[in-house]
Amino acid sequence: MAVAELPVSQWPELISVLVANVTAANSTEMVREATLETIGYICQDIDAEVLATQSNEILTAIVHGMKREEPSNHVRLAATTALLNSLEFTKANFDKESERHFIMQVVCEATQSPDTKVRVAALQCLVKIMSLYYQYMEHYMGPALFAITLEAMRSEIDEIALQGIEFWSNVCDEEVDLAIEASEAAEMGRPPEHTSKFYAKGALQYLVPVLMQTLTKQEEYDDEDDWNPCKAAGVCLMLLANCCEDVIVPHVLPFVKENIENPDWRFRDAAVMAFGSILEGPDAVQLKPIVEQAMPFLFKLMHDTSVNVRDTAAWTIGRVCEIIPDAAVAPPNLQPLLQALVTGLTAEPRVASNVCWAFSSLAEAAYETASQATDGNEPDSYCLSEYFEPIVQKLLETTDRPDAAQANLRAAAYEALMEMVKNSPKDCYITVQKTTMVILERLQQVLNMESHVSSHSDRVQYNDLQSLLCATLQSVLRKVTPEDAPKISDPIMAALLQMFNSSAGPNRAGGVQEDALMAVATLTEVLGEGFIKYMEAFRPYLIMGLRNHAETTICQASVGLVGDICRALGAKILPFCDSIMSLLLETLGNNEVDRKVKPQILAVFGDMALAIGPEFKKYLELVIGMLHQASQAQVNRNDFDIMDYLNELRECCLEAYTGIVQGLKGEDKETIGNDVQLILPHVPHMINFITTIARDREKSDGTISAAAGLIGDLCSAFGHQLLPFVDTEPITDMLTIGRRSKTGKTKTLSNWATKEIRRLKATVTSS
Amino acid sequence: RFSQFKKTSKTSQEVRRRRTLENQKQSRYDYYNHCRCLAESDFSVGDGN
Repeated sequence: MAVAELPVSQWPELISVLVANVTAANSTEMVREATLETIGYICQDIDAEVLATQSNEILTAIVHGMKREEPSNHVRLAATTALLNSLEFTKANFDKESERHFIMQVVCEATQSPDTKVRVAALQCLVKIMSLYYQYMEHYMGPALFAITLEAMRSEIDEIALQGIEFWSNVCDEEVDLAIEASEAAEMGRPPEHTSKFYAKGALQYLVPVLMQTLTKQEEYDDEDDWNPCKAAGVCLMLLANCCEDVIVPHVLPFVKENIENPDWRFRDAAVMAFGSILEGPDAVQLKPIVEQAMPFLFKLMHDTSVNVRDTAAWTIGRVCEIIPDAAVAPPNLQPLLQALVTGLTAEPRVASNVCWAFSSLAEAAYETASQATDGNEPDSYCLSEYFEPIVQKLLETTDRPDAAQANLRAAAYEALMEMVKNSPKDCYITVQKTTMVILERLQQVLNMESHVSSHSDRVQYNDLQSLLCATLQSVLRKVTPEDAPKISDPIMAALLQMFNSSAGPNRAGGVQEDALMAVATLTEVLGEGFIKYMEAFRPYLIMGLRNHAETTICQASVGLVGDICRALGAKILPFCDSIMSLLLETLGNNEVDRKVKPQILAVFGDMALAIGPEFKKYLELVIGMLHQASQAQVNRNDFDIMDYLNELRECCLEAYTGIVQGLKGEDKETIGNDVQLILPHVPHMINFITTIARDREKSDGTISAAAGLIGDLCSAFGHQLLPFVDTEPITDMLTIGRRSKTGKTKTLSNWATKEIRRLKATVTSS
Repeated sequence: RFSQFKKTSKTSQEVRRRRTLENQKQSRYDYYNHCRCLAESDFSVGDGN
């Protein structure tokens, strides 16, 4: 009730009554405990702003209940939990030194309680305080927090150890963010607003030994859903490596070297885990020789007697392939690595799943290295070429393993297959062709199994498999040459249509439909105009998708697909435009539809306008009206998510205008045609819209890019008459920012728009 | 934190969705720029004449 009434200024005396309940000398233990629990629940569920004005009173009650003198552990626990829930709205109290000292003192004392639950709750408070009030912690870190948390990490009680570790994981998260802030500020030539105190670096020599000790406390028969100090220590070590970079290496390496061949599997596993955890963060060049030396040990551990060690070794190899691929593809290691990986595909599902991931990273790294030598073009060959076919074959076999449902193995194997295909050079094309046929066959087989699926778990697996096959189909289609695409498109489209038909039926599966829509999108791209022959058959499913307002992902995929079809078919989409347009407009005007679909619809208007050119005239007034309305959207600027949305909405509006201007301008670049004149009355609004964006301090790089594009398009469509509109201070300033952008697109378009404006100026001067 | 333990990248449907959206955005950008570049080259031809 309080959560409902307090925000609307009802029940004003409530908090005072609760506080009195806790502080009154004659309150019983039960009343104090129940009251503090109540305060805790209110703090947990209510909007922080509502309670900010009453934070003093609330804190008085909480601190009263937490004090060392409080005889009841139940009361202390309720009070400490309430504090944990109130930390977000007590900023004003943390801002005042004396109050902060007092709160910190009470929390630190509570961490020493003999009662485990109170200790855990107090440590949770410290974890949260560290994130929320990092900048105030200097005073407490050396004298108190460091010792308290290190002692907690060493605790035999898991819940306590977990909080101690979590504290330092949080410190790392904060300090990584602060390092990013510092480098951004340095780039802008100003001091950062908040600075790192480098607590993690300072504490490294004390933290690392405790963490490595904790790594040796694995559960032998681990349940993958369990969370324990050993796993938390692995994550913490990884975060420390990211945060402290090079300096962590000498703290960890001796342990790795000493224990990687230890007779006790727990120590071997901890050594590999520690090694794998520090691969990201330190300089790759410094790590490379160390990793190269370690590789033979890792290969050997892939055959360890302990499945835990095999699993960690496979994960570490995957990390090497992802983070320091140069060490993996180096000639002395490549062949034994591939040997170890291919063998690993037949190991336990959890091990094989990690191996699949290693293949994904390896393929990506090998391809990137080769394409650097060809200026980003598809290379003729790469270091995996001679092994490509057998690897693909093994991966296909892995997807078919009877135990592939475990440890996400089937998905991991298909993912590896997709990455292998995506990152394949020209000399592997024959294998890509063969794989395409295998995937198509499998898709047909799966569709024929439809009637045999009965149980719920079978249905889930069946749907997942269809999704994965569609995704794999996309990756092979992207590789297929324009000559080959039409030769295989008929059976592919037939299979996809069959999928839409069955997934839209009584056993409908939104996930499958979405992946099938994405596969159609890829097919339109590779076929171009050739996709027209499937349009009649596909139209009902496209319409069904656009109408599916209840399932946002499907609706969104369908909208995006309309854009792809427009680009692929060009003017040939015309006969389908009326029905599609009316559905798009209907969706746009429907308040029940998830808002994230709407910017996409606006952008697709631009795609359609460009596809059908002058024929778009009939929709012009309606669409411009919609864009006008969307471009005036106002939002709550304190909400980051909404601000992101506003920027996306604006970007899509700008893209739509661009499509319309370019479409109506037509092919003739020298003269301004009659059709484009239809836009002229709307140009002032477009310019106002661009100016609003230009003046917005929170404009995204994407909006600057799209605005610059539209400015250039308007200049080239309307010539010198546009000059007074665009030669203004806000627009000039925005283009200057755009030309300095780190994003290539924004830079290109801002430069282009600037040149277009200069060209108009030159024309005016010369005439 | 749980998802950070022995994390491996998985091409979930969410990732595929994001890639598709990025790809559509890129195609739109390329298509629009294709039209713009044509305009530019036409002008340069015009200047030559």
